[in-house]
Order: sequence, then C-alpha cells, then structure tokens
Amino acid sequence: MPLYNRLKELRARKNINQQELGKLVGASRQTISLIERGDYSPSVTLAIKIAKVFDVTVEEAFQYEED
Amino acid sequence: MDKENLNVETENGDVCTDISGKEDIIKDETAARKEEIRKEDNNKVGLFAVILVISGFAGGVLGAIGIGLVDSMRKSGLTFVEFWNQLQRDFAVPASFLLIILDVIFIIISFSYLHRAKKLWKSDMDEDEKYEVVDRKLSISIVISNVTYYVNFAFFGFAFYAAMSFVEGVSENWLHIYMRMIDLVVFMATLFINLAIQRACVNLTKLMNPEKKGSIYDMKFDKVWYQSCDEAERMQIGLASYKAFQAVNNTLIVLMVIFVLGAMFLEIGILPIVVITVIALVNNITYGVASIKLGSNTCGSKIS
Repeated sequence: MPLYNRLKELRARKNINQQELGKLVGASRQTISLIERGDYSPSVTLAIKIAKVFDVTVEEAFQYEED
Repeated sequence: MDKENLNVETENGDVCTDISGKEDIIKDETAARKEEIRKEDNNKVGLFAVILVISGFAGGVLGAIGIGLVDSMRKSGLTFVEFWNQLQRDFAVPASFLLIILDVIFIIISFSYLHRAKKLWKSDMDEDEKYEVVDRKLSISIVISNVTYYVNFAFFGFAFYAAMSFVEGVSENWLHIYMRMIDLVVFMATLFINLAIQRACVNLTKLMNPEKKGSIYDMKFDKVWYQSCDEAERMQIGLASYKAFQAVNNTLIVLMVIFVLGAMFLEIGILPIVVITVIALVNNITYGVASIKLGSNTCGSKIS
C-alpha cells in the first residue's frame, strides 16, 4: 500500500506505546499496529485524530506515494 | 471531442454549452466502457467454459461410479440403504472412542494456546510485540475451541444415533448403557471446559484491550463485541466473513452435486438436498440483503 507513515518515530518521540496511542485516538492497539506496518490505511477521521495527538499535520504523519 | 471545448460563443457574444457535443462524449464513453466489459468477459469466458466442461465430465464420472456402485450392491444382494445402515451400526463403538479422543486432543491444544498466551501476557516482553503474540495465540485457541464444539456435537450424535437406532434391546444392554453414559459425561464436560476456555480467552482479550465489551454469557455477545470494534477491526471482520461466505458457498456446491447424484442413484433420499438448499438460501439471501442495506446507508456504519 503506498501510504507511508512516521507513527513509530512520532510515538517514540512522545514516549507512548501503541496501546496508549490507541486510547488517545479511540482505536485499538491492533489497529495502530496495522497502520504502522502499512497494512491498513486509516480513515480521514482517524488520520486527523492521530496527527492531532502528535501535534503535526496529517501530511507530516502520513505520506502518500504512487506505486 | 474534448470536455473543455464544450463551451461555444453565440452570435451575440453569449457563451453557452454545446449539449450535443456532451451527448457525443457520453456516447463515446459508454461505447468504450461496453468494449472494456466485453473484453473482460471474453478474457474469462474461455476458462469458464473449460471449468464447465471439466465439471460436467467430473459429474459424469461420479454418476458412472454411482451406477457401478449400485450395480455391484445389487449383485451382492445389498441395497445402498442397507449398506449405509450397516456402516452406521458399525460406527457406534468407534464414534464413542473418537468422541473421547478428539475432544481430549482439541481441548489440550486449545488450552495449551490459552496457557501460553497467559504466560506471555505476564512476561516482561516488549509491550508492542507482546500484544501481537498474545493476540495470535488467543485467536488460535478460540478457533480450535469453536471446532471442538462441532466435533463434540457431531460425534455425540453419531454414537447415540447408531446405538439407539440399530442395537436391539439397548435399554437392557448394560455395555451400551455404560457407553452412552460415558458419551454423555464426555459431551457435557467438553461443553463446560470449552466454555471456560472461551471465557478465559475473551476475558484476557478484554484485559488487554480495555475498549472491548461483551460477556460470553450474553446471547447478544457477537453484536456487543462487534460494536466495540474500531474501523480496522470491523474491516477485518468483513473480509474474514467474505472468505467464510465464499468457502461455505463452494462447499455447498460440491455437496449439492454429491447429494443430487446420491438421490438419483443411491436412494439416500432428498433430506440432504433440502438441508443444503436451506443453508445456501440463508447464506446467499443474508449476504444479498445485507449488501443492499449497506449500499443504502453510510458505508456500513449501521451494520449490526
């Protein structure tokens, strides 16, 4: 999937694990793990919520690249 | 014609849209789409025809085998029904043992996955990795536990049916009475142990994921659990359900062919065909109705 993300890096910077990030954005830990691995593209709502937690723009958290 | 070039200037300087040009574009696009659909169909029709011929041939071979079987049974003076009844009668004792053996094996496997999941959950493994591994082990434990339910019911049914239907004076035959009592105890014990394993799996999952809701003692457990799932989990459930739908449909088609041939040549009656038809209708109508409903609301947000 051509949606790349910096969630792992952003999480490390904020020192929170997947479970905690999930709680902050109203998603499960499993979903955060899937997003980080690039196995799931989040909805616009979830992407915005994630970006808000890290205080970055959606484009800074996620990058779309054509195959 | 180009979409951008639809606007034309009239004599008095007004700009208006050339509708006839737009219609031409729509016609061209429709023709191109039709051609695309035709090509896609043509690409697949060859393989479809081959599968159809092979299926027809396989059906013919199965039919011929059926006729051969009927002929050989007639020669030996045994009808298929008599042969089948004998097989079922002979299955009474093995079914009892298989009930015990399979139940014990499945429970041990299911419990061992649960036990390993619990152990890992208490370990000081990396948090993110731990969740991943424990989740997987719990999922495997639940799948095996679900299989155990059906195996338990099936073999309990086989053992009881064979004994009750074919053994004369079963109520005075102490060996059979003891065996049926053991069957009943094993059956009930498996139900309770299985329930305990599933409860432990669900509760550990809820402990790991505080957002998860639902008690396995609740008749609406599936619905409550689904509602506590987030978007990605719901998508996973959807994809897994679609795989299950396809697997069930394919299995039903194969079974339908077997049972129709069976009804034609082996006097097995129409009950299996009725059962298969009911399952296929429920499966396909439920899928179709759900698809129509989902198509008319907001991306499945109301699904339950």
